[in-house]
Amino acid sequence: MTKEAFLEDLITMLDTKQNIDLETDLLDIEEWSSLSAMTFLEMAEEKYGVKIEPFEIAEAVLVEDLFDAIQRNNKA
Amino acid sequence: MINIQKKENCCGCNACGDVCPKGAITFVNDQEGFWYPQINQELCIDCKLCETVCPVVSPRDNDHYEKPKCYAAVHKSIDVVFSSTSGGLFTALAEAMYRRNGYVGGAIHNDDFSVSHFISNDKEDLKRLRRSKDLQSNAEGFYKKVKQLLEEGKSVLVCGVPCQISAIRSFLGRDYDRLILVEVICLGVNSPKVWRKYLDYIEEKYGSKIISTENKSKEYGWRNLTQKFVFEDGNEAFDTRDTSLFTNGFISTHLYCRPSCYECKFKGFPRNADITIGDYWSLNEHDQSFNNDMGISVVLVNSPKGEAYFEEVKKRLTYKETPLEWAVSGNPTLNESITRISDKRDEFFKNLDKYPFDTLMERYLLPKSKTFKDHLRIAVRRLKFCKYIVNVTRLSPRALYQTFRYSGIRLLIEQKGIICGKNTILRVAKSGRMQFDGLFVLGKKGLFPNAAGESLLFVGNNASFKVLGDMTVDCDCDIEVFDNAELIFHGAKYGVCNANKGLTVICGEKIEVLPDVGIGRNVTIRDTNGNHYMNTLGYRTTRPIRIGEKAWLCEACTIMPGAKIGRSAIVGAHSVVSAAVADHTLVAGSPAAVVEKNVIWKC
Repeated sequence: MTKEAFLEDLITMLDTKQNIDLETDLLDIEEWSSLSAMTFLEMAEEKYGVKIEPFEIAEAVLVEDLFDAIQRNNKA
Repeated sequence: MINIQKKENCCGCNACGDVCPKGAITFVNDQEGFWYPQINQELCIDCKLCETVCPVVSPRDNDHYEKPKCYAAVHKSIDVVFSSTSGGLFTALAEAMYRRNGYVGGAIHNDDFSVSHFISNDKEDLKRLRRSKDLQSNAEGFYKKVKQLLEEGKSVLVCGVPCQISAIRSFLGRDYDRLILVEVICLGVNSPKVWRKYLDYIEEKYGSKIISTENKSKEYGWRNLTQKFVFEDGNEAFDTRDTSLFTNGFISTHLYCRPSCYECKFKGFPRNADITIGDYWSLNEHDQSFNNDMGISVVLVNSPKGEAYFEEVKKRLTYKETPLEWAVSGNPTLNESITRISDKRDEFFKNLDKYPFDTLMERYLLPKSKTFKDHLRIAVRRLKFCKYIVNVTRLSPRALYQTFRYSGIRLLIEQKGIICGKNTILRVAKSGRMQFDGLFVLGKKGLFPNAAGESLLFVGNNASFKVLGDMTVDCDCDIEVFDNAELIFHGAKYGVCNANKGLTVICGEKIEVLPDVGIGRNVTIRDTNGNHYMNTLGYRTTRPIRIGEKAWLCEACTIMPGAKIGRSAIVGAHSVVSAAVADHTLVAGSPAAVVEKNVIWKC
């Protein structure tokens, strides 16, 4: 999965009109909430076949942290 | 060969043990619980490496900044801030090293809660590494391990107290680009033996084994310096700066720090580490932007390497550059060693094994002798209290009459009892009992002191209404304790206990609200169905209610008969609860369902 594809999927998932890149602060995305964190975990499993535990993204700050969580678990 | 003439000259960094090529140095605890090197003369070849590596005997110069850059910073993840002692800076620095596939070293609790230095490249270990430990940490073998990793070409971040950081610089003998040294601002390290004794005392007091402990838990606010304990039986206990004998002995009396801490050689500038972190205690005196009592870190960037590293970390932080003087004023310990406030330190350690911890501390904590200033403060506090009574009662004759009648002058002098707001109506039956062990303010009006809002309190025959700590209930409330029933508010213990406007409590049997419970607007708590009966199996017209310590009842929720709400649980707005809610659980809806488990929140 490329960064571009991931960002596109995330934008679709959040249904946001904001510009998002890996450096974007999650809290700067208006649509980001605790519920979207759950939706993200579901998306990771359905779309990329990667199972991520909630605690792994509990401390996420940037979009990059979500991307890293997918990469890390993909390898494992 | 190292020869310690005076205990003050050994900081216990363990570096000499690691450098000795013959393994001739072991560490032996003295009766205070601090270790000192012991040299096996038969093995010693007098190579003097131990003296060269000793940061006290052979201090090393550095070319770090005389005036470091200073920042106030907080990690952007609230979860990290909750899990950290200050603003989560160590986590941010460590995360960057894990991302480089590097190693992170620091102090961790062992199974018996002694402290050792540890290093790994597994991010999972961050949970154990973060949070200050306040103790002397055993770094035997750590220096060798760090050197080995650096020689293998690995990147390494090491966090420790200033003497350990100086020791590691001496041990390595040269600078490595791949090494980041982080020190914590240190007041002094406490005796591991006294710490264990404190834990034994806590285990005995609560009757269960401690399975984890957190320094400066945020649940009652950062400035409360709360020690949190989690026990084997699932219970939790807290010890704040006001209640903890250990914290008091450490911070206000400096009773059981290592002798070398009273003559610390690692004060002032330039600092030995690349980055210095600690609590930014004094920031709020100058700047209110981080004022939420969740913890603010101070960051001093001491070297170009530290600066480049901090640049990389910044994107995960909310930060602000501040004058260095601000940080120093709140952390005088950057420049000065602690002093021996008590002259009874030797006597304390002589008696350490003889007496239980609480007896010992009662004897050796400095008695708070009252100075003129203290007397003045007390007088001012009394005056303020009188003004407070005027403010709440608005000098309404009925409010004043009820206040004095149900509190009594004696209680009011102790600043306890009940203060009734204007338009408060109390009806207490002849055989109804009221007990106030704290200050109970009923019918407070906050922003609108002259608003009409009525407050009602009824205590029936043989009924009992107890308030055991300070508590405030705003106006428009209706508290009714029916005949033979019992209502207990524990009030504030470590935090605050306030009920916002519109509280309704209907007590037909027994309602117990434990300490530090927060109550939002228009909350209803009722343990009785008011003499209505149904032909349902197991139906009872009343069922007692218990609301756990530091629970949070949000706006307009209803707590129905039989509800048992756990510690630190949160009941969402407009929810209806009639069953049990587990500790640290957020419930919402009608009937209330679990939304989230293991929630930690700060009141």
